[in-house]
Amino acid sequence: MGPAMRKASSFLVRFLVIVVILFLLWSFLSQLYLSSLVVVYNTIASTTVKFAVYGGSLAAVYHGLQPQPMILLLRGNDVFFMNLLIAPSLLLSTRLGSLRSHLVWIASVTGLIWLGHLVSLGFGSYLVIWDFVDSLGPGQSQDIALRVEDLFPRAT
Amino acid sequence: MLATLLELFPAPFGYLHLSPVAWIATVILKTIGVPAELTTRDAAAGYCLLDLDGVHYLVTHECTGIVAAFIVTAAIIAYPTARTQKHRGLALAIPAVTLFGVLRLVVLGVVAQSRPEWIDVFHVYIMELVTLAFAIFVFVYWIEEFARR
Repeated sequence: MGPAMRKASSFLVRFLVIVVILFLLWSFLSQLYLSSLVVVYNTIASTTVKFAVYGGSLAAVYHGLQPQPMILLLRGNDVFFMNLLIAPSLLLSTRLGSLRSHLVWIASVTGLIWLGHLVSLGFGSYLVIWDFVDSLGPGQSQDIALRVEDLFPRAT
Repeated sequence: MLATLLELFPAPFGYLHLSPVAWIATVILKTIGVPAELTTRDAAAGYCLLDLDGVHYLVTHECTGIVAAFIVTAAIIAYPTARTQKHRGLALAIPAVTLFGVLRLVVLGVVAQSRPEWIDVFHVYIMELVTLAFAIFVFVYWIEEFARR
């Protein structure tokens, strides 16, 4: 095995070990992370859409479409947050010199990713409701479809 | 840009990547005794149908690890080194990651056949992470072997 292959292999092993550890941690922390996003989003965003966590899954709660709020449960949402495992694993498996450098980088990158996820929640709420309306058959709840077009206008 | 190209022109990617990767994976699955049948009729639309013992699985571009190929391609193009080394990198990385995409589908096929209750975990989490790890491995190898020379 040449030096290049040795270096790449050791990087791969380090990365896999770290990502597996973070993945196991993630199964405990994902709820906390999701809740932190939901709380901040609900505080700063409009009242038309709110998010909630039901039984471990993210739920989008749409107001104004029906007499009662309409709730769409988004299963498997935590897959979008996997970059939270990848970025720290990459940084931890890279030799940066000092522990402080690692911590500064991880904190900065994780903060940026968290902000990205917060923004994607906002956009995601539109995509989810459009997807729902597009899946409705002819004659099925067309009143909801009209309200969606009104409250969540699509770019033309 | 590569991801946008895939969205805008799914047909060439369907014929040149999705179909061959899914076809080779199906051949391997059959060879190792997994009863697999592939329908590539809708490859241009971005998916193939894989029948595993009567259960249909939709094989899309994402299932073949094409995103990892995009990531490593973008990383090699963006890395500051000579153009010759970038060409070498692409010649190494694209086939390597594509072959890994075949392996990924074979693993998913075996899991779907033997432990169907695990397919979501493997498809959504484990193989995603392993595929990305392999793409990073190829990139690091290329840097050490070629790009720094």
